[in-house]
Amino acid sequence: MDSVTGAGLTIMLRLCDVTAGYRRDRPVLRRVSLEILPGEMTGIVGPNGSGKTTLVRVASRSLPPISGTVFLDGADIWRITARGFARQVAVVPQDTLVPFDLSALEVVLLGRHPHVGRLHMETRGDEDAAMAALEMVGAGHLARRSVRRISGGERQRVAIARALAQEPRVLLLDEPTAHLDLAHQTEVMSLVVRLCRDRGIAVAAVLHDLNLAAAWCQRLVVLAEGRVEADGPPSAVLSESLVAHVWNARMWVRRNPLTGRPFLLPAPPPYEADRHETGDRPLVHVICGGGSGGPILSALVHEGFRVTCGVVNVGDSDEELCRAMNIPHAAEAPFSPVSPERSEVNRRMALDADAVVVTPFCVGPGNLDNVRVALDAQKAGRPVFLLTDGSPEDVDYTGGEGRALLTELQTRAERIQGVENLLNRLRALSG
Amino acid sequence: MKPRAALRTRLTLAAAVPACLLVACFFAALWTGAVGVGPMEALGQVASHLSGEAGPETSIIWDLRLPRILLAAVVGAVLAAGGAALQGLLGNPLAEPYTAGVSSGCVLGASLAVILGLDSVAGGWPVPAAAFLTGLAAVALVLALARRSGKLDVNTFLLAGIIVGAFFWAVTTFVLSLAREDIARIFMWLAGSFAAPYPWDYLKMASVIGLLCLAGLFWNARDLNAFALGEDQARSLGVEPERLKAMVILLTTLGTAACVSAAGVIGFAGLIVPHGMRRVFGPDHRPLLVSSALCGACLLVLADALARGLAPPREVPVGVITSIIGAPVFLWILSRGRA
Repeated sequence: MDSVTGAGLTIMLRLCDVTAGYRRDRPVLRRVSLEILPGEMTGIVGPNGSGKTTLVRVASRSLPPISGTVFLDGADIWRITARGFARQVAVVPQDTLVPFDLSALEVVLLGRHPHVGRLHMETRGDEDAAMAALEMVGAGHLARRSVRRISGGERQRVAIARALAQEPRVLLLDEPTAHLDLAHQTEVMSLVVRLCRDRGIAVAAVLHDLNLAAAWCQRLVVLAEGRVEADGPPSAVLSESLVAHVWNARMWVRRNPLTGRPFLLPAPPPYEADRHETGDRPLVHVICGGGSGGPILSALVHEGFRVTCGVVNVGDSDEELCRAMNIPHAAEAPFSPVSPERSEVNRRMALDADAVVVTPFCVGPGNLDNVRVALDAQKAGRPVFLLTDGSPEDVDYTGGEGRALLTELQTRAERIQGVENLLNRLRALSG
Repeated sequence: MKPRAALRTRLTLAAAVPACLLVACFFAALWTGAVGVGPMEALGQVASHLSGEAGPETSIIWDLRLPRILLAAVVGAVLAAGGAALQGLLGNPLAEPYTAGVSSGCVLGASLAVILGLDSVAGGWPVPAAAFLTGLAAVALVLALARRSGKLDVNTFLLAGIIVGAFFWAVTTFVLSLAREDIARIFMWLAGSFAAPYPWDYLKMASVIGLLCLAGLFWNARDLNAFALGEDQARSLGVEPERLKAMVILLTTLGTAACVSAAGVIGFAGLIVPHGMRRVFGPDHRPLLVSSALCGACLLVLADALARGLAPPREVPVGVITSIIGAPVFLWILSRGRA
């Protein structure tokens, strides 16, 4: 009675229009439809209270749905006995504490429970299966150790081994990496992914950490307020707008250059140009490019300075930052030389500012005007600060012209090394 | 040792050692009493009754001592195994067979029956019958209080058991205060005694229900192991928690009600025996239930022998003896557990 998708994959667990919760009038999950496929690692993500744990409970036959049906290979799971279900589907709960002083192997042997008949003893085969499961998770050496005297990471692995001893075709995990440190998180996730790939088990894991989920799962199901908000491969699902909408968090979504998988970075708080309390703070104009302006721009915004920026090319990370943080800036088309119009905008911003910061960007024929603007501001009496990062200074790619302008700038400008020192100097301006 | 071999060893020890002990206790109890009967003569009387050669004259051994020893063994086994199962089910070390309010329910029924003079009607059978029914009624009330939308909450169950128990005790005390002259006859229910008026009949009643209870509990032993991991994990291992809770509570309630109806309230046996056995044989309910039943039987057979032998011809209530022995032993177990 297997239901088959278009891709020819056998669906193992299917939630069909499931509404579930702990009170009929206040459902946690609302009309969720979802399939968990063999050999696929599905991450279930969502903000607190979005129904992740309820989803695991309703899919694991712990919580009967208020309406809708959960199918296992086409059969309603509530029409299967608990024992029959436990031979197909194993669950690793959030809390894996064992109240008794059992050895790890004895705990894993409990996983054979649905396979052992009433009034029967566990057979040698059950014991071997338990030991094999323990070895599969790399915890064979813990067999005789008491589960009360092993670390959290080890206990998590023993809990997964117990689930594997059930020889399930579907494995549901509720936050398997909660309370684990970085090394153990990686260890548990790679173990689960390996099981999923090598043994064709359908795995669904509730994960709190979006980066972990994006890095390890083939598919993400995003829950928001009890509904499936998005479902698909991480690269298709995770977008800045989705994260902003579902988690109400300002994050940047970037791609891991090595794996191509998306990852999240906290976005800096937005700059509010018309904020009252910043009205009396100095206005600093930053002339930058090529990513050299990022640290000082975000530090200035963070410290409450008023900030402008120019001229930066669209696609440059400095320009991206200005856009993300709402910093007023003069932008030029990607990879294009600075046009006279943009340069004029830049000049006006520089002359309006109380101070001008020039970062160590590479000077080429296209952005030579940026240095000229700095010189003009200096001649107009604006204090100009040259930010250096301590690295060798030759940033000239114009064959001498740029160096000459920079040298001229340096004769009267203050050279300051490091963002922190520059911030102190700028604070002194306002005081 | 591998878990399977370890379990097999534990099961063998859990059955064999207390069984030998029980045989020893049985003979010690058979030879103890207000009327001195020599060991050989006692065995001879039992043998002649078993072979049907005995005459119609009353025999102290056959008509009084033997059935009450067997009754003590059955009651001890049911109370101790019931305590072990309830401790496992409720995950609470203070749980015992009386947790659900059976005992106070039984005592109220027995007291009412005695006061109404039913102990001289129909061979006195209305008294244990009333005790049995009110015991079940008390548990039904507790279950009704602790069930919410088809589920039994374990903590609410414990609390409801305490409250309903206290209420039934209060009503019993009120009844007792009205009936001074009957107190002596009711006292047996409060402190426990195996001096039943019809020992063989009481034994039949208690052993039919008691053995049913023991078999049922053992049937669920492995489910209780899984249940120790918590309801959700037990369910994911193929246990239906609500079914298990209903089964274990029903079985212990029936067994305990039968015990209290036959012998009154005998404290501590259902509490300390499982604790001691868990220390010795570990948390697995298979050796735990077997050893608890057998050791519980030993304990009550010995306690009853003491009750008869301490100050003959007077009898000390057996519940007093179990409590006097039980409290210090329990403290000793606790203090060893901490070290």
